[in-house]
This record gives sequence, C-alpha cells and structure tokens, in this order.
Amino acid sequence: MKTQKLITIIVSCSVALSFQNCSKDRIETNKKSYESMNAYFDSKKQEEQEFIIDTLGECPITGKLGTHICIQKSDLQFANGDSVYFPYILKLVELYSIKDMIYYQATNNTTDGYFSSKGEVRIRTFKNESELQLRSNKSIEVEIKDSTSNQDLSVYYQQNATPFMWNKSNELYSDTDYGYLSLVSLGWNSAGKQIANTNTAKITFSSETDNLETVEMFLYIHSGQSIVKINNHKEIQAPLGEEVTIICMAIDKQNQLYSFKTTKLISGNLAIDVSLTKISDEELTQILDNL
Amino acid sequence: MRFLSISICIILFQYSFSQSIGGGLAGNIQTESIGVELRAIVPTKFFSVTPQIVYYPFFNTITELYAGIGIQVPFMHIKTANVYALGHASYDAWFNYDVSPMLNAKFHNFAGEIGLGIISDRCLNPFAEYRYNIVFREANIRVGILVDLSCNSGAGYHSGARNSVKCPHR
Repeated sequence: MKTQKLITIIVSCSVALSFQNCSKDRIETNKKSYESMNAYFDSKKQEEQEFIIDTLGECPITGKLGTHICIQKSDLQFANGDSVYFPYILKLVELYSIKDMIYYQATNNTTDGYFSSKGEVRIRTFKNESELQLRSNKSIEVEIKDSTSNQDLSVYYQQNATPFMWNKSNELYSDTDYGYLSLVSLGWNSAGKQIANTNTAKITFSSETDNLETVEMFLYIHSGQSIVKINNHKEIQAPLGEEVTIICMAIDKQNQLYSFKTTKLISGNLAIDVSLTKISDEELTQILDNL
Repeated sequence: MRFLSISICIILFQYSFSQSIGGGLAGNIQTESIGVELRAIVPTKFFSVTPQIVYYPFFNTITELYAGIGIQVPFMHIKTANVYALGHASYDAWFNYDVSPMLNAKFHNFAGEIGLGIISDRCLNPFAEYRYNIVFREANIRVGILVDLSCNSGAGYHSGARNSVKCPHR
C-alpha cells in the first residue's frame, strides 16, 4: 500500500511536470519575426514630382535629379482616343541611387536575372484625374543624367509590379554628353545593361535566430552597381568572381530596425547564416548611401 | 508506407501472443494533431508489453508514423479498472519534416514516452492514457478500446468467469 501511494505521487508529479515542459518546436519557430517594411520604405522613398503642362511649357522638363523629358500634347490621348487639351499634368519619379531603388522597391531584377541600371524613371500623364496614354507609334523623349556615360544602353521596361521585375526591350538609350537619350513609352523605364548570368554560383540563406520570410534581402554586385532583391528569401545566383554585398533589413512591431550585412567574393556556392542586429535609422541610411 | 506495413506485421505477429488487441485515437496536444493507433497487450507476470503503431495522417500539421513497444506497470486497482504507469520506445517516421521550423528536423527519429493510463478489466476494455514524449517534449492523449481475446464470454462486456486469464494489470 505504501509502495502504491509512492508510485501514485511520483507518477502524478511527473505528469504535472511534463505539462510545464512541453514544446511546440516542431510547428512553431522561436525565431524572431518581423513586420512588413513597406511603410518604412514608403516614408523614405522619392516623392513623385508633378508638372503642370500648359501653353507656356518649354521642352525639356527637368526633374529635380536631372532627368530631361520632352513630350508633345498631340501625342497623348484619353483611353477612349479623345484628344487632350492644355493644361495637363505630368508626374515623374526619378530613381538614380541604389538607396532610392531599394526604398521604391524597384530593384534591378529582370525576368531572366538582373541588370545594371544607370537610372530608373516613371512618367505618367493625367488630365482631370484620368491617366492619359500615348497614341500608337508615338513616344516621349527622355534623357537620363549621367556624367560618366560612355556607351549605349538598353531600355528596360517594367514587366511586373509585385515583385518588381524589369524586361529588356530592343530599344536603346544612346550615349550623349548629358547622359543617355531615348524615345520611350510612358510608365517605368530604365537605362541599363544586362549582367551575364551564365557563370554563376548559388548563395543560400538561412538563419538560426530570425524568420527570414519578412526580412527584406538584397544582393549588391559591386562591379555592375546592381541591386537585386532576393524575393524568395532563400537563395540567389551570383556571378562568379564578383564581389557582392548581402544586405538584409527588417523592422519589428515597435518600429525598431534590424540589419545584417556581409561582403563576399564569389568563388563558389556559398551558405550564409543571417543574424539580424538592431540598427538605427541613421545607421541604416548610411549603409544604403554607401552602396 | 513501408514502415506502416512492417508495423502492421509486427502487430499481427504479436497477435498470437496477445491477451488483448485493439485501437483508438491519438491526440498530440502541442502539434494539434489527431491520429489513429493499433495496439496489442502481451501480459507477463508483473507488467504488460504493448506493441503499438500510431499514424498521424496528412491533414495534420505533423504527418508521421510511430511504431514501438511499451511497457505498462499497473499500480492501482479501482473497482473494475487498473491504473498503470507506462514507458514506450518507438521509431518515428516524420513524413513532412522538411516543412517544420525545427532545427535539425529529420525523417528518421527515435522517441521515448512516459505516462499514465487507465484501462477497464473486462472483455471490451476502454482505455485512456496521458503520455509525454521526452524527445519532442510533447504531450499526447490516447483513448481507445481493447478486445480481451482470452475472455470466454463472447462478445460484449465480461459477464462471468474467465479461464486461464493472466492479469497484467494487477
């Protein structure tokens, strides 16, 4: 009887203790999770500039970062084909720096890899809140500012909005004294050059401390000055022999920023263990400025 | 399915030695999974040996199959039921380990469980168990029913004498 009582006590205590020590490790992660960075990026991104085009307008219009735009009213139409009368509004977004491309989430990803961009612009036209179109076979003249321009580049157009993806066209941005000049369509376009992706190595990402699904992850290729978003948060192909910087950033519910940065020379497949640490807004901005 | 087949063969092999055989439902509290189990009871003089298989199907967060052998040691008799402590060692085939956030998750695993159970002592014997998996640190509940093959009263609850019945739970 004494033994029975003893066993009962031991078993009861064991059951009670086991309840205290249960774990959901197999279905839940102890890794730190983060919020979307969309609001943070939106608060930092380049503002869309607005120009009211009327009879006094002159060609070219110059954006605050130096983009030249020439557009003919007669080349525009409403969606139903009706003609446009003065005044109308031209809206312009200019992204020249890597930092601005990250903030606008308009990185250099293409449908078949990535490219090196000398500048991205979005041009839209409106009349009475209605977005206007270009008439068929018409275009607008855009000149992207680049004092170091020395060769013709391709015109890239936006292919997807989410995730942002570019597609190379057959059109060219011609090298000029001012930068690159082309006749393009409305919407997003960029002057750039495809980065060869035939000789690459795979970089894979994992983390023992952070849930990477909501972390913004980018690959910066130094020689091409190209910024590529790692959309799958797991892996990316990087050009062999190139120096690259991996930069990851995240924000938590308290709006605390986190980052991870490492620079590697790609000599073969690479596994990177990401571990985010707290960072101030100023420090993160400084990192992006230096890319 | 190879593991399931092997496990069923083990259970069937045990059938000839068994006093009871049956099955039930298994619920893993931490993974919020429900499975089905088969088990037999082979009595010895002081405890029972219980080969068991449990399968948590595809609709659960964790899909896996446990096949193993347990020992049940009765230590208290309450009216027509016995309370027992249990220990169980098993092989675990974790089919969807690759989607788990757990570090070092893998297909082949070995698990150990301890727990407490209660079973009636008739021809059809409902049972209930609380078990703790010391490897994954998960609690689970088992409920089911066992048919006492040595019961000589036919189907239904035990209604009279039992011949040559070993009493594993006492």
